[in-house]
Amino acid sequence: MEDYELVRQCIKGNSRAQKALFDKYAPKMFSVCMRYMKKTEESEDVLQDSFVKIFSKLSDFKYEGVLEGWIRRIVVNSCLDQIRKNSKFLNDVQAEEVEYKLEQNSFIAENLMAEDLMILIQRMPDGYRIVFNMFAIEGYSHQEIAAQLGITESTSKSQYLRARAYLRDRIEKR
Amino acid sequence: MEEKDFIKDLFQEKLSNFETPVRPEVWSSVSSSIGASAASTGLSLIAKLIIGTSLTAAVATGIWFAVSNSENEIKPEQETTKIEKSSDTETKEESRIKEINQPKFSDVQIKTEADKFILLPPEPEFNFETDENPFDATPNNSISEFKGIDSKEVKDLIPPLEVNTNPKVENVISNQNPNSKQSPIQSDIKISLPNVFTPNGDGNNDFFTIPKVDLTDFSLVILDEKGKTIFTSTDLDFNWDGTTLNGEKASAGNYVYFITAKDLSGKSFTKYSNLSIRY
Repeated sequence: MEDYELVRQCIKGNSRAQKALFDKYAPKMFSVCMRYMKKTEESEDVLQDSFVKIFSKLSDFKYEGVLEGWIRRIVVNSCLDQIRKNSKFLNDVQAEEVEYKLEQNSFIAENLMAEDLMILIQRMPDGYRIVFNMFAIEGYSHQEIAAQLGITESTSKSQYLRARAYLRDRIEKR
Repeated sequence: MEEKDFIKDLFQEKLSNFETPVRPEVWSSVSSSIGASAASTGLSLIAKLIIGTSLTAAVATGIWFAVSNSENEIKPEQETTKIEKSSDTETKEESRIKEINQPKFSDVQIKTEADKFILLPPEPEFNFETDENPFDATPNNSISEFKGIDSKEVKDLIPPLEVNTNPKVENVISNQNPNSKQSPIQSDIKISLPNVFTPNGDGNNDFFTIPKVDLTDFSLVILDEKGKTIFTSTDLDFNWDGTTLNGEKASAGNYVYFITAKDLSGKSFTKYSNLSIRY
């Protein structure tokens, strides 16, 4: 079923369509949750909350963008809400210069499975992980990240660069 | 610097569409949260039919039960006859036991007649055992009398051949009962257990340990609020950094831990404390 038709049926309250929508996007969104939340149980809780939100707000979806992008935003926001509830984070980071290396050993990447990368991300400290997820994978701008997390743009940038250096370091050591 | 971000490309490529299987339970809780409207519209005609027929079936069976109950009330005689019958069967069973025992003896006797010299001597012993031993001769009675007590325990305590009468057995058991339920003697070792630690890597209180004391057979279990085991150790000198059994860092919150061990004199030592993890 096309997303358009799927959304229409879901709004009408067709439970089969709702299940289909869930089945279509939940596995991908669960990965998103796992990247932000680290823990499986917490990720499931956030995923559940997200989809309840998605279904209740589905009538607000204006078909202006891709459905998946809209869903993903809701999921990421739910993750951030939960993280905010869990603890204060990202409170004291200054912008600073980060060393750069030439990125030439891309062959390493071929041996890396998505599962390995998931684990790498999940082991990152909270601040790095969230900014990295938002910037590198979800494609938020530093400006958006700063607004979402209540940090400055330069903090977001430096967190990202640090996260990247951290990951590069881990990958090269493998 | 923005021209080529290899790490970004790598992670975006591999992870932006990465899927992780979702347990079906998540869907069931989502579907129950999004409300009954979904459930009602989702029912097909067949489902409605099934519900309808099962309802009528339930009503019908209810009526049938009521009728059959009243039938029973009319005929109380049946029950009494049943009781008589059951008592009959009991006596029959008893006689059966006798019957079962007797043929055995006769079998032995027949055999012993065949080879007199070899099998005759053991015969009296066999008789003696079955007559004197309360456990073997009337197993039903002896066990039902001592309900709640492990029959093995009783047998272990009392070698069957030495016990001759039932009263003795009962005495032994009534003496044994309170002892077996008492907990083992507690060690009087005093130990002050930590109840907070901060595994945030700042070099201060980063590891959870317990004070050094003379204990053996040490084991420690840490549970989270849901009662899930997140860490165990059998090493008294353990040094926990907050990493749970599944490799994740324990989140800030309240936990509880239990210690069981023995002191040097063999007395058991058990203690528990709450543990608050903060970052």
